[in-house]
Amino acid sequence: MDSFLLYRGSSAETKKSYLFQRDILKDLNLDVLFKTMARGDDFLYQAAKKVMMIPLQTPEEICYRQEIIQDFWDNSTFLDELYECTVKQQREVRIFKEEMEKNRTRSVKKTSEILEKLSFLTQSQKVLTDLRELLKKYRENLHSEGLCGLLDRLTEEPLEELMEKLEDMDFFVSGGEIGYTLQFGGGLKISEARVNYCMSRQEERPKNKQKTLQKLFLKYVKKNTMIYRNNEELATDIERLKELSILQMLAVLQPYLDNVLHFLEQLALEVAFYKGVLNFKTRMWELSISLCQPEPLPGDSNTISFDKLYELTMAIHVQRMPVGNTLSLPDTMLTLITGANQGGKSTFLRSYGIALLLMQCGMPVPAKSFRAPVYRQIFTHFTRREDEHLNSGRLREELKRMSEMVQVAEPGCIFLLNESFASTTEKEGAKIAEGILQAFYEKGISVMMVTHLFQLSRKLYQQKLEGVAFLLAERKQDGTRTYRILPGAPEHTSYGTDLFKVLEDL
Amino acid sequence: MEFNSILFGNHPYKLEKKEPAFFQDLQLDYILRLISNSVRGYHIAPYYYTLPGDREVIEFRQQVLKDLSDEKLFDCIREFCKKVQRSRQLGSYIYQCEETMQKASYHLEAAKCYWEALKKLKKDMGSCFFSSDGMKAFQAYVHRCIEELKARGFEEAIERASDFFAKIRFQLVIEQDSMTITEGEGSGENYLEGLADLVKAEKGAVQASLYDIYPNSLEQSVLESVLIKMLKKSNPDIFRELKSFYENYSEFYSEKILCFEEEVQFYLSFILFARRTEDIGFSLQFPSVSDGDFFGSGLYDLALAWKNGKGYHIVSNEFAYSEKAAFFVVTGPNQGGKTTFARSMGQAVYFAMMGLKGNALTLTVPMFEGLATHFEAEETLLSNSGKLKEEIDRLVPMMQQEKRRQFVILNELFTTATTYDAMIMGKKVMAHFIGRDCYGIYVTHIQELAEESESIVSLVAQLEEGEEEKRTYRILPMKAQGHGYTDSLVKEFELRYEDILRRLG
Repeated sequence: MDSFLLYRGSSAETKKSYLFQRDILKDLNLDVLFKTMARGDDFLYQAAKKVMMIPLQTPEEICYRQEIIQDFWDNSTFLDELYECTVKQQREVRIFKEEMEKNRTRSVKKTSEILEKLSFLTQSQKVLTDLRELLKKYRENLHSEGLCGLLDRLTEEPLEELMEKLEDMDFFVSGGEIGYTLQFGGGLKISEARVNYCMSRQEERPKNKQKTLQKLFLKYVKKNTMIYRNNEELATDIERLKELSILQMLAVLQPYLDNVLHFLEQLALEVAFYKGVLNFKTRMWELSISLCQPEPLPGDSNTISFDKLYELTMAIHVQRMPVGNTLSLPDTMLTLITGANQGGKSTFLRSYGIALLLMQCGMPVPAKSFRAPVYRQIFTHFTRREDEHLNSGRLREELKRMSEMVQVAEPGCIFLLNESFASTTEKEGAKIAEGILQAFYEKGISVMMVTHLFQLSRKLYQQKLEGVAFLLAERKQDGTRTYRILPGAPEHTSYGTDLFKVLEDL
Repeated sequence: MEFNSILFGNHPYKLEKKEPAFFQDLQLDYILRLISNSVRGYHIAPYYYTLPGDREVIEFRQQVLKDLSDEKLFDCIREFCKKVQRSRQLGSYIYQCEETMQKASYHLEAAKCYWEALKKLKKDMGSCFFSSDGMKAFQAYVHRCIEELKARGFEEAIERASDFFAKIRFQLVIEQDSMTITEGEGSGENYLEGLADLVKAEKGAVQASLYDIYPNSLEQSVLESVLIKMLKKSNPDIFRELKSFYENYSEFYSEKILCFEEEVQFYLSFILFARRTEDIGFSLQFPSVSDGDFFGSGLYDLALAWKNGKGYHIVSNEFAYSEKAAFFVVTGPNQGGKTTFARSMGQAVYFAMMGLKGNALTLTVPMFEGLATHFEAEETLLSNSGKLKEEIDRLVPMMQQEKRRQFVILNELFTTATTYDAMIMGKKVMAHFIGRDCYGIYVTHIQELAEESESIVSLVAQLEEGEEEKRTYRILPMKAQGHGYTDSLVKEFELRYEDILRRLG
């Protein structure tokens, strides 16, 4: 039994997450986004973070999620009911697991474990049935493969039949009857005992009538019946036999129980993610900030184009839509962004990174339109200005970080570099960067880099390599910044002196 | 050949119960622990404590060991022992339970197990190749045992008694406060299988029946005895065959077979140990017993090899005694491999005298009546004079032994006495043993003891040529030398003339 609401035919736990999550979270300022999705609910926060930190790998995977989001957006009461049902059950799952954990140290471990398991199984069968009925209720309005498939899978489960068995097994709790076939072996000890049937005192089902008659017959004809109520030792032995029997039944059900636990946990995570996505969409809608459904391209397409792409976390912060950038970069492996300080270069790089990340988890992105390849991994390597290292220490740290990333990088990844290797002299920094970029370029690793390393960008510009694009932060003649990024040749100055002048003027 | 013992053939013997004094010194206690690890449930130590002291027995054992080294024969004997062991275990339950029917049932199980073991052994041995007198005599004996039991109608009786019971099924219904037991197949329904099908459980992942419900194999549970009583009343016939088997076949074991099962563990344990020794890259080889020749090559310390394990580069040595009884006096640097060499020699002689394979590539040993070793006590709280006394106390009984032709290892005697005294005493001790036709090794720091004579050969632990700090662990015959090896130590501790001048500077 599987929920598969995040992936067609698999669940999140087998997937590879971003290898440098901490860097991504920090560099792309994602906390703001998670908070918007969670609306104060920690479970939602954790779910959003967990799911979004695993990049989808193909356009098909992305569409699978986009469809589900659409279904939920169109039927928001359905999502609310589903959320109510699964998240409440999530609490039961947690309590059950805690109890099982406690049982390890308990002295009456077995009995309490049996009772917990029976009750959890019974209760979760009810929840699964409720879920199935809920999906049936909305079936007509659902179009996504994911949700329709979930209903199909639930319909195939023998929920009612299992419920009957669980009622039989209640003999252990409420009393009842159990029948065995025995065989005696060496030492005249019971060598094998097989359970033929069991039934709870509370059930009265016609199928057992025949057996009851047979029993009555045996009782009166053969006189092999014994009352054990008053024989304490005998009663203990019988209890043991009954207990072993129920334990074995539970052992048979254990894989199913594990499966149900897993199903419920996965489902809760998945539903929580979608709940977060809808919270986010709703919030953006309230703020009149527009989002679009991105168009994911195959990993080898190398084509990037977007219309009015803006930096999401900044928008959430200022609660209005900032200036967007519109660019089209066909067949681009390496993008170098140069230009004025304070010109919006880092903001642009971050806006692109966030949009990629959102697209790669199936979510809508902050732009009017957005097309980009699906990358295997996103690496962010932003200079850490706040680090109070000496320059040599900082370069060491930067190189170490880069080296760790290179250790795990592969073709089809993208590196977002923000002023990397600026902590040494320009000449040295350029030399280091040149080697790395050259290798990435040849190995099919995409790069988008904000840099002040003029020697580097100039050299690359003059080489006129295919698949290399140059962007420039716009600066007007008078020194004012428009925060727009446009295609343009690298300039030898970043106009840092402009800022200095502003200070002088004061 | 009449079959008596797989360890001593038809020779009379008496097993040593106590660990011999030389065991610890040669680290044979450690090796025996390794050997014993592979056979559980047998007390094999006395076999390893007892030196047969007879050349014929040594050769008898070597033949048996060669036969058993064949994997097929080894497996078949091992399986046989396991079954007999199981049978004995079942049989022992009889003495620990009170209910006659229960005793009878254990007795039957034990008989069944024993009979199967014998029949299987006969069949398996038939397709194995072996040539030793010991194994051949044993095979003949097994055949005889089987024939004797057959003549007593043993096989049919077992079948009658067990078949009947194995076929009967009982129906037990437990209700709130009563239970009912009846004979019969019942509906045949299996609730657990039904459950497993429903949740599509993997086949075979869970047992469909309960076993070992009341796991104490000696006692019936109350439920079991109540059920048996109820059945006795309602179906008395069920127990008739069982009881008659118990009465008619109360004795069926052959003493010699049971003895074989124990004794053959000596070989089985050693073969398993030898295999594991091969696995870590060292080999054990058969030595040969001579009328007087005593030499070997590729000799190494088995305990050292095991302590270091796979991949350890061990230095091996060779040696040769002249034909007359003699002592090797080994001198040389500390940590140079002297003690290791002496220990290796002792181990090799021990294994050869046991009729086992040993820790040398080639080895020829004359018959020795025993081994005697004297190593410095490793840890002691005694004062110097106390230590000397303790040493002499241990030495005296060694020297007073009646035995002649022993192999003697003396390691650093009298270190707490003055060098002169130690030398005098050492010479006397050696002369004593040589006078009793003993061969031996004397490891010492005292050069004067290594003065060669007709019966004393000097060996020296070698250093790398030109590199005084480096030990090679090779032991070669040569005249005992001065203290060259101490230079490196002196240098290391900055105690040379110029060092001391400078430091006092």
